[in-house]
Amino acid sequence: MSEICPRCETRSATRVHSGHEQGKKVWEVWHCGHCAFTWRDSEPPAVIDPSQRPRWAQLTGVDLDRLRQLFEPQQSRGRK
Amino acid sequence: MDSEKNTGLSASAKATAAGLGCLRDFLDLLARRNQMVVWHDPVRPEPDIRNVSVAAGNDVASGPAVLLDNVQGYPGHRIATNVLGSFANLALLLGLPKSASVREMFFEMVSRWGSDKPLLERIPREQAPICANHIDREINLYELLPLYRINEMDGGFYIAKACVVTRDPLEPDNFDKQNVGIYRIQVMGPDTLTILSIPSHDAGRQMMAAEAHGKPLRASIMIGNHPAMTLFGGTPVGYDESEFAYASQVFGSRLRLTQALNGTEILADSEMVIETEMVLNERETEGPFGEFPGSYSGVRKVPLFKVTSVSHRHDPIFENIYIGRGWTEHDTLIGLPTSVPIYSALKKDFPEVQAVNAMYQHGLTAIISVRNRVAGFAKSVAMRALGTPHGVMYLKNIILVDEFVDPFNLEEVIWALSTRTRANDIMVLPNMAMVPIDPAAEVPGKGHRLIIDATSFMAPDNLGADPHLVSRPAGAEIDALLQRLKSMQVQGGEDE
Repeated sequence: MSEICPRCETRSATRVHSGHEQGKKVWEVWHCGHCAFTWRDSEPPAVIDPSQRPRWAQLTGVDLDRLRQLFEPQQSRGRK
Repeated sequence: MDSEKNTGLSASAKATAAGLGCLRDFLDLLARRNQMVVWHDPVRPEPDIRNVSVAAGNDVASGPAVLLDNVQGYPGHRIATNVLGSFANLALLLGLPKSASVREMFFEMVSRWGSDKPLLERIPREQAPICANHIDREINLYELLPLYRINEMDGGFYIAKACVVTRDPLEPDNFDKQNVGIYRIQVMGPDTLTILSIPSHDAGRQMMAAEAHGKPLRASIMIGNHPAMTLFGGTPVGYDESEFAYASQVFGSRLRLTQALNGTEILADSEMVIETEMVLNERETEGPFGEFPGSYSGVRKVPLFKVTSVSHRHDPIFENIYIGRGWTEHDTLIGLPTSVPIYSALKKDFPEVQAVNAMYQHGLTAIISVRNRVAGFAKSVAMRALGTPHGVMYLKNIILVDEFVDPFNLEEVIWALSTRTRANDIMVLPNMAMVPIDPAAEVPGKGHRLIIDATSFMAPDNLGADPHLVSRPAGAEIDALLQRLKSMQVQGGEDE
């Protein structure tokens, strides 16, 4: 089951954990396989509702391969 | 194996150090001195943990450590926050009275500085409390740790106060090149995470070397550590110097080490270790994260690590930090360990240096007190500070004040700026290296430095018309008079 990510707005998120109190589920943690955003469904709308998140914090439509590298991979992938 | 330097520790400092073997011992000490609170009320992971942490840290002088033991959805888990979030807590760690001034603590640390005779003991894994529980299958960090979002626009859940141990991938048997540093860690999945270390930091150098040579890089992430280790995880020591050795000697605490399964050495009494291996040439989308300059760092591609195993004490405590727009625990924690090595480096060549206060945003602003050997001398001291290991990336604004100005007393520093500074004594050094998350950079990693010489002019300078300083009464007699006035004040009236 995948859900829409609040940050990149692609349908790439999967549930990775849920918290319980006395046998009852109280929240779920979701992680986006596309942009790596992680959130809990109990968080305030300002964090997990795309329409309420600030524009600067959104990655909607951003080509993630063009993000800045902390440092470039030192070998090209697949090369020994 | 006692250290010569530690024989110089005061009796109370020795007694404190002898009783501190781990985080739990320190929390007990804080509790006995009314500097630790157990928060039993139920808290939501967000935003309650953040709010309690910020509130405790708002009392910079004497805010308590907080142990939260009722986090919704995480029954049985405990979170420690603000452990070194006040100067009172730092003073207790140093074996000083809670009321010790920052200046006293600075000189206490200066007097202990060095790692020539560390107090390290090695014990087998079977005896190490951290190895009491071990998980190497179906690892789920979300289950093992009560993870939460530190600042509301962070890209995920961060482990922000862990000490990461790595060895030089080209010299994996060299203890002195084993690095311990605090780097931000974003959990990316049940058994994956990113570790952010810039190339100018030791772990970053090791990550680049591992990829360049196709060698494995294994990292042990220690959580809930002896507070001396936490202080030294953020301290710039030389590349071939051991943070374990420094931490044990400066705090006079015997640290017990044991072997992680991946070949690194870890603290035997820490709460948890997450053993990981770098996935060479793989990157994950990391950030933003509310960083120490008080702004969010951007989203970047950062090296990915796979968790290979987790070991932990019984009922482990997840110690984490609140970091963001200051003043925060990060500033208290890292302020003096940033200032002392700069002072020690300067003092070798320039005995005229009196003290260094580089506590502001990890040294983005530093104040150096120095006696001018000759006119204009202070500027050369500033240049030397820029060449220290920390100065290369972090010292952005340097303010130089006279030897009689206390750099820890900001009223005195502003007096010096008001009355000593001449506008042509300000130097701007353009386009130098800069810590990438400084929002004032021209481009990330590059920006301008500022040196303000607020020391007094001396011959052959033009001293101006009225250069003679007022001699202000000071010393024990004045201190005693103030004490007497204060006691009269307390006895004299009633609160409205």
